[in-house]
Amino acid sequence: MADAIRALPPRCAEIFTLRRIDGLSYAEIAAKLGLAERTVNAQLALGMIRVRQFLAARGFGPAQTQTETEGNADPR
Amino acid sequence: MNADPTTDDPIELAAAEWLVRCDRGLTPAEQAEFEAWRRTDPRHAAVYQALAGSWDLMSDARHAPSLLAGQAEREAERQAVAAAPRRRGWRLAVGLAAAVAIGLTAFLGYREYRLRPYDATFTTAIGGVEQRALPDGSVITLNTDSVVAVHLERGQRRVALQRGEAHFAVAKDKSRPFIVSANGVDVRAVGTAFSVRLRDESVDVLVTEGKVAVAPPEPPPAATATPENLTPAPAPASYLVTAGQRTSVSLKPAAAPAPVIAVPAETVRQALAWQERRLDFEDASLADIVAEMNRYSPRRLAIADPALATKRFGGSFPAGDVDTLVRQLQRNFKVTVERQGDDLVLHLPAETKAP
Repeated sequence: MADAIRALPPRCAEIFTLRRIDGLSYAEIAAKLGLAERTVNAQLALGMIRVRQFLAARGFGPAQTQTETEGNADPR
Repeated sequence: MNADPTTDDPIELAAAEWLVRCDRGLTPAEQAEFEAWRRTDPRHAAVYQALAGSWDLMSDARHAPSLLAGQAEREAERQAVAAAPRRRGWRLAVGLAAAVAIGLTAFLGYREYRLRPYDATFTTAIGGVEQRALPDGSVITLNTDSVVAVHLERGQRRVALQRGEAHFAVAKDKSRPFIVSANGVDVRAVGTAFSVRLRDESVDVLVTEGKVAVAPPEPPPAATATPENLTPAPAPASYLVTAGQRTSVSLKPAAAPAPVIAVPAETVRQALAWQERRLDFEDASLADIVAEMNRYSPRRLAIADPALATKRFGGSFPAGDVDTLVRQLQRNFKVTVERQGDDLVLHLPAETKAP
């Protein structure tokens, strides 16, 4: 699992560690690193996807592959 | 599997966004939105589940204290582990102890930091939008041309909105109410999110999460303008505004009590679009659009023709990007632009009235 975090870009890994290992809140992470909470959210979301891909590539968890998109999904 | 570590799958991006929001904690409104999103498409729920699965696996990373050490130590450890696998258990114990010590120190220090008295003034220029985190965990987003003065102490958290508009995401702390004062109007919250806009003749409050108590100015509003000498407790005439509602307190003497108006989610989203440096309009008059745009731009727009001012228009524009708006108006209404110094005056040409 630690390898999955190490494989992340440094900033992303730092935020990930603060959240998942240190258990800091989003506001705390934002304050500590001087970032907007929005950035913390975005980095965690990005990190999540990369970790999932990292794990799936090594046979952990469901091997969810890229879904075909028909343009009907609006994240809002 | 995909070698490229990023994804451009919009479903996975949305799922990751939801996972992060769930991890942070959903408001009831977000909860409903999330359920709706999951129901929209079976793939949504499936992709979300896959992500959540690996997210949960990551909790086991807690047992890898080496992550807390620096990069160099990490490298050294990796080599040491490779060279002498037996030392691993010992290193793990020391690492765990260090992690606990670091965590405890950080927690105690952080608690002290959160509660210490704090004073600050934040300012944005015209066209600026800035987000500031306070030591208590609250976040203030200042809109264009705005000034807030923050004063935190053990018993209360006070913010004076001296100019402009700001959105407040308030960290929950029952022992310290969070009070925003704008020209004598007090908006009081415990843990919630809301916007306050100080206009010339009114104070507008829009609540996006939880609820706030709004206290209009005292009847003789003459000498009580500074936030410090207002009583912390809401006046008897205060009233509640809850998520998805707005109110506008008139600053005119002897004004009628302000009504509380429910606003649709889409309107709330539009009213907060400035936080993403966008301005959203739906079927708004050009007069309103221009007035709103002018808040964000040192170059101001004016409408010469009353017939043009009442035209209705919509769209999403970058805040303060006067030129983009003008181009759109030229395309849609064939307006002509007259330059007066830095300012732009919009005319409706006579010939287009009878094509």
